[in-house]
Amino acid sequence: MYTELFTLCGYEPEEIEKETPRIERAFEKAKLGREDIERAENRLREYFDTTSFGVRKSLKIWMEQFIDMVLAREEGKKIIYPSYPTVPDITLAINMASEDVFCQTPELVLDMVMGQIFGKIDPILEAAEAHGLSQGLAMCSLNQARVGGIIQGIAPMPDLLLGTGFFCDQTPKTDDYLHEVYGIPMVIMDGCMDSSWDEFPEISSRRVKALGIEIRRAMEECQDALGIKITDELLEESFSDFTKLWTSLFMLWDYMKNDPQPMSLVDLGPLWWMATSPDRRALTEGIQVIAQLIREMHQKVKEGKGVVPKGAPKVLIFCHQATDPRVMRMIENAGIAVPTTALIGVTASQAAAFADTKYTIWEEKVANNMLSHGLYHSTPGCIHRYRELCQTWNVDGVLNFYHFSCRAYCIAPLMIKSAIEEDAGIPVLSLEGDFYDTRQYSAESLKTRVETFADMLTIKAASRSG
Amino acid sequence: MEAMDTLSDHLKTRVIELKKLQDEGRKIIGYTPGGYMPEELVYACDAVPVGLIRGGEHEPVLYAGAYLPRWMDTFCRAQIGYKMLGEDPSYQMVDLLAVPLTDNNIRAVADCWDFYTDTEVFRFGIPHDKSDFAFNYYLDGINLLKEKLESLTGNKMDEAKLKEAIDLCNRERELLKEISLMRMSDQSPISARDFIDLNHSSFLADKSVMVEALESVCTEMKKQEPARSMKGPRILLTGSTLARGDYKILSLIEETGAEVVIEEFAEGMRHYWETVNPDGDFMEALADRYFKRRVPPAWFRPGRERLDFLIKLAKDFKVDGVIWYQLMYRDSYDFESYYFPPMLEKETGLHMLKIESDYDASEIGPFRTRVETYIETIRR
Ligand code: SF4
Repeated sequence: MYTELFTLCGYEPEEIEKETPRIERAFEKAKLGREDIERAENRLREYFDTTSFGVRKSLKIWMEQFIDMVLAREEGKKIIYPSYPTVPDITLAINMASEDVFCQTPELVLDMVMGQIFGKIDPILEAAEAHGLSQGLAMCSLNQARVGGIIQGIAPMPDLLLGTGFFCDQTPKTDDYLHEVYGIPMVIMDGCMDSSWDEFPEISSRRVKALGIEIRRAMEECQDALGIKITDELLEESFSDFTKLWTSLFMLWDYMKNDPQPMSLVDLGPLWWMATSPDRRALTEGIQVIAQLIREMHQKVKEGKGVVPKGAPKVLIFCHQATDPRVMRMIENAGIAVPTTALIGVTASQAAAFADTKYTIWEEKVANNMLSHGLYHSTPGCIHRYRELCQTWNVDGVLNFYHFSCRAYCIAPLMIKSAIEEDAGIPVLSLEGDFYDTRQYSAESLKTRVETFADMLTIKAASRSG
Repeated sequence: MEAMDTLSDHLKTRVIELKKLQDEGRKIIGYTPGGYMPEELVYACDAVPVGLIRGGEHEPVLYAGAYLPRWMDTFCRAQIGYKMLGEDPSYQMVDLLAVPLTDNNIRAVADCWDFYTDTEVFRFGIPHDKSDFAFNYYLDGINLLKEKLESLTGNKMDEAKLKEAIDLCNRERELLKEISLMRMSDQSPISARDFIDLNHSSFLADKSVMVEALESVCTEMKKQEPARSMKGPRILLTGSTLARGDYKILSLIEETGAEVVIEEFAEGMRHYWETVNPDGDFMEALADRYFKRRVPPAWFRPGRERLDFLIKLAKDFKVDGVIWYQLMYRDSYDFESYYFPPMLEKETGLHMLKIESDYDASEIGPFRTRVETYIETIRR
């Protein structure tokens, strides 16, 4: 019953055979039956490029994560759930420190597997809604998945919650909720986005040091709670491994600049999400998959193959929908090339920050790198990032698809529209949506606005060339 | 009460007076009213603080839609709307908007003012726990604020001036507390509406006039014989923000014959339970009062301190019910409103009613039904 699905997800026959007992136990816990498997197979065939070896292998990474997560408790692992936005360096360091720890963001695993693959995220969201994260209150669906997954027992009760509060208020409050209701210990890395309006791309050392202190404190509390030891050498090693991972990912992403766009964000998305919350597997299988995809991309470019026609208008999107591939496919079908998102990629100001040798201790280097992204620094930082990315990617428009239930993301959309349209002369469509839930913002419901925007970009391009 | 009439007259001309002061060279410092702004620093620089606490109206909220998606807290959207509508002089005249940055909703206010207007904005962060590091971060923030105020006003803050300001602000807090405590009585000498009005006035009024008015109210209340008679259920009103002008919920409660005897809000109400202990370093004393000893809002994590405080208030003020009045999309409050009721019931046997407002006139009907039903249940 599992052969076809797991083959589509890049498993070899002997791996399927070996893993079957674990698959069965995990699927039973997650209440995934024959019907779900069939749906998943159809979705994979229809929305993912399963002819690509690299894509199948990247899906495999998520399937493995899912099975590991569901079985983590019965397999005797200590469980720690970092939350979004993660400090990926910590996730990686904890994973590298001990094989007896399962350290992963459950909402991400659920979105990738129960959402993207099985199309069955709704019951998880509904479980959270029945327990206080109600509909109609603009509660973030990513946090709903965290809570719903735990309530449904798909994500086992963790030993520790590792939250961040330097950007998002809702995630740490979700952890506070889990702490109050279920008594789960929590560690929050706090922070305040209190830079002056004109600070970015400079980053005050006050912000870097403050975030660094919080990261270090969290790291120490995690060690105490989990009984693990994370040495400074290990931190440096994970820092350099993490840099390698992202460097190779960016090399891959560079191919997306080609016309026609060689691959879909649907197919590359799982890899990007993996890098935002990396574990050991990301460093081994992940790096191999990236190398494989680079080879495939190279070939596609050589052959002039693409997911959209050559010359299709190119847009920058804020973030691609993470639970339902149909949204991105709808955008591509409207004739728009979406080679990257505002969350991916190194801007020039980020590169300058990475090269800065001012900070030498691990936590400050991590903090500096995170803040240099822009989004986690401030609204001007976010706008700055958009400007830089629009230039680097030479886009014809911005599809500012924003997550309506996220207070942190809702501040900037209209400012971005005004800044990018007025300063850079690039049209921006502000598109209210949901990154992790398509019950209200399905591909169908977004289609008309996207198609109109595509028409506008095409007319603009035609008038330019005419 | 005569003192309240005098205060009300003062407020009627206050904006004109502020304009005059500004023309004479005094700086007007607007601030977001989340209880983390030490007004003492403003006074000590010979500037004038103005808490921007207006709310309750739908139009500014709608108007803000041109600048910000609607999925942000209602009060915060209103603060953008008031500024952009340009109709309220107190929002237009500020030379500097000081923003103790508590959460993303407040960040939205600071960012919109920065992006869409010429008003200078100064942010200082409010950490979300009470660790030593958080305390020092806040202390550092108010030191930066002090520097900013000094450079803006050209006035160096000296210890004597700061001490004088601390004493004056302490006196205001002590008096508000004294009046509030009188509401513990079965025969509270002041209505909720009057107390809230006094509290809200303190964000705009001249501090000396305010303190004088509070002294007189206190004296009058003590003399008042017999005190007002209270027959209806006693209510604790709590939530994210109670803005000046947002009195719909109060009216509805009053209409049922119930009475609010104590309020606890993160924003819009002046916090008066603690005073500054002006021993040792004054800046540390301010941080100790405004950050460490202040009961934190729901966006702290853990947020238990405030919930325990609510239970204490419910017991101390012998309330019969708790009404949780929050504004739309203030998610920290949504979370707590889920797990607080069982705690409250366990500790006090009380039930809680949750009401969420978007400052929309159409809310009144459903709110009335819910408040009436709730009060009816309490009476039984
Ligand atoms: S999408 Fe927004 S609300 Fe949701 S977890 Fe991320 S930052 Fe927080």
